[in-house]
Amino acid sequence: MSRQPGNLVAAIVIAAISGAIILLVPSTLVVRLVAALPLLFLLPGYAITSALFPKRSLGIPEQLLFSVGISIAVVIVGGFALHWTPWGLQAGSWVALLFSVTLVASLVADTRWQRTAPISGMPLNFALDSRQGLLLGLAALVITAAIVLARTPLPPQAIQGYTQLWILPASDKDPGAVRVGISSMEFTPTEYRLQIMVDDQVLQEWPTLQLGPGEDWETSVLLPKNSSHTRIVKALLYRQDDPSVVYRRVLLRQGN
Amino acid sequence: MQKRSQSHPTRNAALAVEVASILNPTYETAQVHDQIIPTVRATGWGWLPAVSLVGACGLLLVAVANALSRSGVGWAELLFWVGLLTLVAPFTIRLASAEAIRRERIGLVVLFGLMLYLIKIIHSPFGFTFADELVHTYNALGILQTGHLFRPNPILDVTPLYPGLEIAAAAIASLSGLNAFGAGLLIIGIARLILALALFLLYEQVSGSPRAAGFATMLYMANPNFLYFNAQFSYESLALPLLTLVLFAASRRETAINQVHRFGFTLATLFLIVAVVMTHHMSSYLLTLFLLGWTLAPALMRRVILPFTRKMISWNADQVASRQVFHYFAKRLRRFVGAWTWTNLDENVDTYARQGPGGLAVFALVAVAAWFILIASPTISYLSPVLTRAIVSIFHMIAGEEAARRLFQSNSGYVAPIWERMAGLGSVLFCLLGLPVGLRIVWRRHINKAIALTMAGAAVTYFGILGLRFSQAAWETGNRASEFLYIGLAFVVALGGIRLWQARRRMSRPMRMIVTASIGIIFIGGVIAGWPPQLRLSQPYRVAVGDHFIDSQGLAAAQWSRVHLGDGNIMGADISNAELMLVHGGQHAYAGKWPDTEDILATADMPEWQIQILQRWQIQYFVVDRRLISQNNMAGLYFDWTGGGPVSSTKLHPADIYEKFDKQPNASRIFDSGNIAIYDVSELRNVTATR
Repeated sequence: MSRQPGNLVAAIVIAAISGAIILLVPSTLVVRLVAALPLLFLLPGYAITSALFPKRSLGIPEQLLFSVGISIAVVIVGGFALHWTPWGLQAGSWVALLFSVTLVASLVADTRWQRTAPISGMPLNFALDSRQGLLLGLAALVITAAIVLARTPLPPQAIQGYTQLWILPASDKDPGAVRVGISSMEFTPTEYRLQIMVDDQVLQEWPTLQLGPGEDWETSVLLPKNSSHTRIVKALLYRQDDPSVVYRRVLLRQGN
Repeated sequence: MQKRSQSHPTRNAALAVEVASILNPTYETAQVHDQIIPTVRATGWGWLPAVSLVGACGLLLVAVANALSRSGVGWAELLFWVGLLTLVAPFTIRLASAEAIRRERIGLVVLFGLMLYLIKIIHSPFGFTFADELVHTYNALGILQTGHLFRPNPILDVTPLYPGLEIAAAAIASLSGLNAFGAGLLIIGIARLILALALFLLYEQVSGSPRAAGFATMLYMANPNFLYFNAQFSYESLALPLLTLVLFAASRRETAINQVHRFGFTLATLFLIVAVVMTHHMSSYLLTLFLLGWTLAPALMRRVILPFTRKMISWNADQVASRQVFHYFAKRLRRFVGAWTWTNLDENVDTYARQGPGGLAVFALVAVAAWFILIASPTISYLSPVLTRAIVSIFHMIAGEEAARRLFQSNSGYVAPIWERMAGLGSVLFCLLGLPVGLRIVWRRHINKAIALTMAGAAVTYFGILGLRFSQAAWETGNRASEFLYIGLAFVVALGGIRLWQARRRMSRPMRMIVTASIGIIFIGGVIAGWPPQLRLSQPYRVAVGDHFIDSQGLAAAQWSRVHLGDGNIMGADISNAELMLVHGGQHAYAGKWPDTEDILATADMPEWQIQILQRWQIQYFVVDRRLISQNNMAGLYFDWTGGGPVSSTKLHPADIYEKFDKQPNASRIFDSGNIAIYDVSELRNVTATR
């Protein structure tokens, strides 16, 4: 029955360690995730629940439910409060807020713990026998297999690949050049022919460009000097397996 | 029987617990379980591990079905249903049985809820693809980028005003380093945990039976929106679990063991109400309505329903005794409501008077009003057209001025096959059959609990709003209400289902089979009614070609725009491309009616009002998708099927519409990927209209 104050001390210590990991080990995703989850979704709610219901007077499912639920409520209401501060919602302010809530609520819980008459709590017993453990382990393996299968992109079937063609000014400051790019999202290696035209005159041509699936090609094209009128720069892309049909076309109007 | 009982000490002990829990309907039920039956504690998880393994195999079948669906295999859907039933059946049978103890039931409902959530993750494993997910992701990204709330959302402007979900997701991303997708999946998973646990404890609190609670929680998960809609990264998916937790906390407050506890539950409930109010508009309104109903239910019962029922019966006895037919029905009614009611009701009047979360209801009302006035006043312009259209549509339908919507037929012309229609109707029918039995149990055993009466009211209302499904404009409102009303319906039908399960011995085995099959049909019917058929399974979103992954055209166009145009450009687009541009392109993309990009993309000419829209909203780029399906914010995100031929068979806009910007002298077509073209229209804002 004297477990509660010990748990609260543990909650404060874990919150402090979690906060330190989050702020000091910024690049390790798994470690930060392990540190962040209890700080966000367990410890503040656990401390508040302990303050509201001293002496472990809730059943374990209720304790868990209120710990998680109230933690989320703390995050939501706390996030709204942080919005009005100069620091806003960022890692440092979150850690400070969540640690403070855990600490203060734990202190309140400790105070109330001293004053309240004890209520018999439920024993903790999550024991599994070996057969049950094996079955649960197998279930976890099957679930993992299902997720891995779902997360594996499959080869394309009964769908169509495509090609991106684009044209942009080489830079805002230099209207005398354009950038043209091709990205092949076709499912097989594809041969193209690219034609660049200025005011309907062919300026440059690439008779054969072969790109594999997922491959990109990009070039810059210098335009002839002519500042008297708006020029229309076109890029026309053909596939070699259907050379008479324009496959993709883009167009840029270059102002004077 | 004796021999059988001796060979099942666990079963006998569990039955004893069941009886004890009915007699003592408070949280102490848990203690009863743990203290009465040491043999049960030794194997306290019962069949949970085995049921989990079978359920996991069902999940694997669902994953295979989704993989086959992404490859265009026609029979993938059959495998999906087989997998779903393999998952549902063992949980149903175990939760309905009398043998399982409370701890096992809790484990089962939590696992079941999480496994159903995994079906959604398996459906969309590479990114958010459901209707509102990208909109909320944009809001979460806004919090991460700016450190502050309320960044305007160009597609759904009301969503940043209820930032609870996005705050939580941004907090996860900020502290853990997860991306918004991972953070979103995680917070909805935690919400699922809360929902399963809160529902179980709420039902147990009201019914006094862990068995009824487990069965009701599982039935709740059969509601049409549970599998997909309430699993998406959207504000309601978090608000609904919090709402359920509020209901549980408020009901526990009614039976608190002392003032310290009552005070604790009061504070917890108030705090959680604030979280609900900050997370979702409709959830907060319906929560307030439920609390008000719960407060007023005893008065309604005492002053209207019971006097009316009494009068009916005495009227029958005094005045129409000679009319045999009335006499017969009155006799049945008297038996149905039970003599207990009359003798004990008056004793419960005082209990009623002490019950009711009146203070909590007033607090919720004030919180909703304050949030609406101070933060979220545009909500009215968001909700009122939807509700007004729904109401007008109902009146038109009643007056015969509007054709009724055809059930099981989508706007795109898809007509559900006959077995789907039968399952959809069967799910409603089975709930309807369970309703009177459940209502009778509520009447006889729980009439002194205001929350049970309110839940019974919600159950009856569910069938009342089913009629909305026949209205063109109101069916969605009716559909959205189902996950709230199902809280009551699942409770009442579960009481009925358990009653049927323990029917007379001679009938019990076939009756159990019928109940199990009914649950399966309720589940299948719910999935059929709740989600577009063409999106029930995964669609091709990302494919692998050698070592490369290739994304669908819209996603790739959005990624291109981020790399080559930079973030934060103002764009106009159809809804599916606008959502992709928001999140994956980092653009400020408009879609729909405000501004009216929808009509700009649906017309072949460029009149003055369209130029004015470009000028007024400072639109720099227009994304034109020639596929009609791009107007669907879920179906438009994927690769198009070729149907075995060399090119896609998707329907296109007329060429003069999707090429309209080619005719504009100051527009540049800077990007072309076949179906999608991006136009630079920044110069177009300076010219006059052309045709």
